Amino acid sequence: MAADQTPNPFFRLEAVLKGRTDLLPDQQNLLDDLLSVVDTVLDRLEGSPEDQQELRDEIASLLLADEMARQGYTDVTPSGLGLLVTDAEGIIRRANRRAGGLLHRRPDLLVGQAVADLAQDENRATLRRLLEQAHDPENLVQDTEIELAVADEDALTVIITAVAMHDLETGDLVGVKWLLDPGGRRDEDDPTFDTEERLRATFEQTAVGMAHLTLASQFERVNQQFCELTGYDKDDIKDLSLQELLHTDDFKADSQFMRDLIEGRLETYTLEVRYRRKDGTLFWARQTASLMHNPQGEPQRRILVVADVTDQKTAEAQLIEALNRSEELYNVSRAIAVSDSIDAVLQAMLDSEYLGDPNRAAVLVFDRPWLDDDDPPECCDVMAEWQRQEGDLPPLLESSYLFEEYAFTRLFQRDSPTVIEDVGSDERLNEQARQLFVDSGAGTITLFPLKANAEWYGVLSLHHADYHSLEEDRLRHLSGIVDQAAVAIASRRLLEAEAQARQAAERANQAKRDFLAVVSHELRTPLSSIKGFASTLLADDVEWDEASQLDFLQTIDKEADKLGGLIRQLLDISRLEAGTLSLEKQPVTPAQILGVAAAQLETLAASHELAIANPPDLPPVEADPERIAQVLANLVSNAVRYSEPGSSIEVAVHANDDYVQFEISDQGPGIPPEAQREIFEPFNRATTMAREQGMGLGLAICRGIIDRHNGRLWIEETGPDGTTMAFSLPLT
Amino acid sequence: MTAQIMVIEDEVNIRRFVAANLTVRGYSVEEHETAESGLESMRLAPPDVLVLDLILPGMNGTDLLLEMLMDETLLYVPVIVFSASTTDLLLDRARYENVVEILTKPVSVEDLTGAVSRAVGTLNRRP
Repeated sequence: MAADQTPNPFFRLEAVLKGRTDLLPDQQNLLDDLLSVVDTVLDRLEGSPEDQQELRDEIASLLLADEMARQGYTDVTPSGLGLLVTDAEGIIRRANRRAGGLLHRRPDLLVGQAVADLAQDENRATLRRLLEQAHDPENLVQDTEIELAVADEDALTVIITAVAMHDLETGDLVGVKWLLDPGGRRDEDDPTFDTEERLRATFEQTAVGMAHLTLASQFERVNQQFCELTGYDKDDIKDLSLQELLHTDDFKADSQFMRDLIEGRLETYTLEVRYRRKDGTLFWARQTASLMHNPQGEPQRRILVVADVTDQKTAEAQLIEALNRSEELYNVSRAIAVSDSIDAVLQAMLDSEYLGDPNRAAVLVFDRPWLDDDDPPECCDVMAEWQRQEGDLPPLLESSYLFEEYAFTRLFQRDSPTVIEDVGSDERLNEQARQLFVDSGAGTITLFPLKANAEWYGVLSLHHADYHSLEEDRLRHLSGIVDQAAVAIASRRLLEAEAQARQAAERANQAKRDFLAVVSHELRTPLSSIKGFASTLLADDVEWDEASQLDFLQTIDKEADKLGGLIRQLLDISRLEAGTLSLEKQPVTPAQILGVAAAQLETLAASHELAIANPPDLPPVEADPERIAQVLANLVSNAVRYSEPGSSIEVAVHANDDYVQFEISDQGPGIPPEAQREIFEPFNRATTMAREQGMGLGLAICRGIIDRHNGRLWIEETGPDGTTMAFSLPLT
Repeated sequence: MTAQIMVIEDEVNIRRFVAANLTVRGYSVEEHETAESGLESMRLAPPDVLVLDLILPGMNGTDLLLEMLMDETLLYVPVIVFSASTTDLLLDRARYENVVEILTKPVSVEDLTGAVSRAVGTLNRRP
């Protein structure tokens, strides 16, 4: 008998009970009593086969109910479903009224029958197979469509679901719960049965979206939840296929898995897919699909279970993004920290993947920290520059050009990056700046403030060839990187500044020594002439004729003037350095200034071709015309000194929104690069020039005077074809 | 015989002062603005005495002194040096044994003529 080959549940119960060591005394007594009952029962099993069977059935069904309760299977059956409970052998132990109704049998008469006997032929084999497979803990729930034999009637087609119940400790199969679902078939014998009601029970009351689809992925039926997820009505959706609801990429993946399902390689699959709502928006869903088969094992339709995981998905994506960014921040910070030069810092920054392929970048450092908003620094230097392609773009930022002509200071922001998305049309740029950037191949420019130790000391400019939009969070991320770089650059500069300061101190010492020598030489030269000729006239051993006497006296007079000029220069420079140079500022037009200076300029440049372009309609500046004329005279006399007689010298003036700019151009050989910075320092002279003279105070005094007018003086251009010096004065 | 005096001085008025006073007192004076042109000329005909400004454009006075010390025809030409400053570090007397006097600017007629006549006076005692 088959029953003898299976483990007897009573022995199992005995083993379990005896194995308990954690019981209280009362419980132990109870247990002992129970064990003696079990012994008695086991003894009785030795009796007649009928008695044995009766007892076995009785206790088995009790045990089964116990096991079911333990596993959480209460005897709650969805309305309208037939329920059979069998033991591990497939012998029916319980049947509900609905099962009896479906099978046209009294439920109590079903008990004791083998479940396989409810069907014939291949359906019988299917039931046996389900029972056999229920032993495998992997197959807790199986369902299929099947034909059952019904007394005095044709076969009944149901979806049968076999729920295996396993012992939680041993894993052995203790019984199977069979749910019989007659599907769309309306049972006229049972007026309580209603298909819609059944559907609502299994379909509607779930918390997830569910859908039945044809094998061609056409929607047949969806639940309310699915409608809420997708925004479609139940009626709308019947005209649609899954393809219309899924993101194209995801539909491809789904189709692939669907093939595996149909060809039997998969029983079920779960995908994360993007669904398109009726309003066109997308949401992420976890979609589980399986097939329903007919009794012949042919797939009939597909069932989808769909849950919205958008929040989860978004959070996941944000997390991954955040992780990527922090990883990059770490890598870039590290690279910045070990950079040994400002160029290397720039390069490390440019390795950030979030920069989006710039075509040039530059680190601009102000000549002094920008502390007060109303007091912008005067110029900035390009400390490091990078461009994607070597040499095919025109040089962009000459240190001196940033302020007057292009009015860049207006763009810089202390606390946030400035994004000029389209340089060709941005209102914040003036016409020259727009042209400069367009010519330089820039589409979008982003300017990040560089700050360290709470001081704003410069700007990182980033150029993209194409229109390039940086999102807010990406910009924040980049700002983080730039802030780190800013500190690194500042400390690099500090080291360099320290070295420079040391050299500057040494140079200052040397300059002091040189100062005495130069001043001594320069003052002694006219003094020597004066002394020499005066003593010549006074000498009593020679009688000079009148012409000679006159000549000597005139020389004394001229040399005394020269000496006076030198002493004035010395006074000017010392007053400028002490900040006590007095200016008589007044509103004055460039034309008036040139008017004051013209005669002196003509005299100075008598040996050259002097051209003064003097447009009469320029706006006035607040200036001391005498001092500005002094500057012009000095610049023109330099031009005269350093270019060939007969060559041309031009003085020009023009204005933009904020400034008037004077330019003095010559055709001399240019200022050597190594001298360009030093010529504005007192007592420096361009030393390669043959006809050196003077104390080298001229440009230092000019710069001091222009500074006192809140303007700037710089070398606009210099080269073998000539030099243009420029200075600016702010408009009133 | 009239002593030949060469003057190398870039400042035109000082050069004129030297030339006028030496000429009027009977010396023959040759004027040069740069050390280069003076050196070229004295290699053809060495002067009896050289009056030299140290600070010159191009080749300076000390370079010229060295050139003269390395040229045996110029080695013994006595040189009177004009210096702008007493603290002038350009000149190391021990190194330039051809320098006979240093005159610090400004220079009076007496200083100049005194130095020149002393230098000329030493000429006969030279080998």
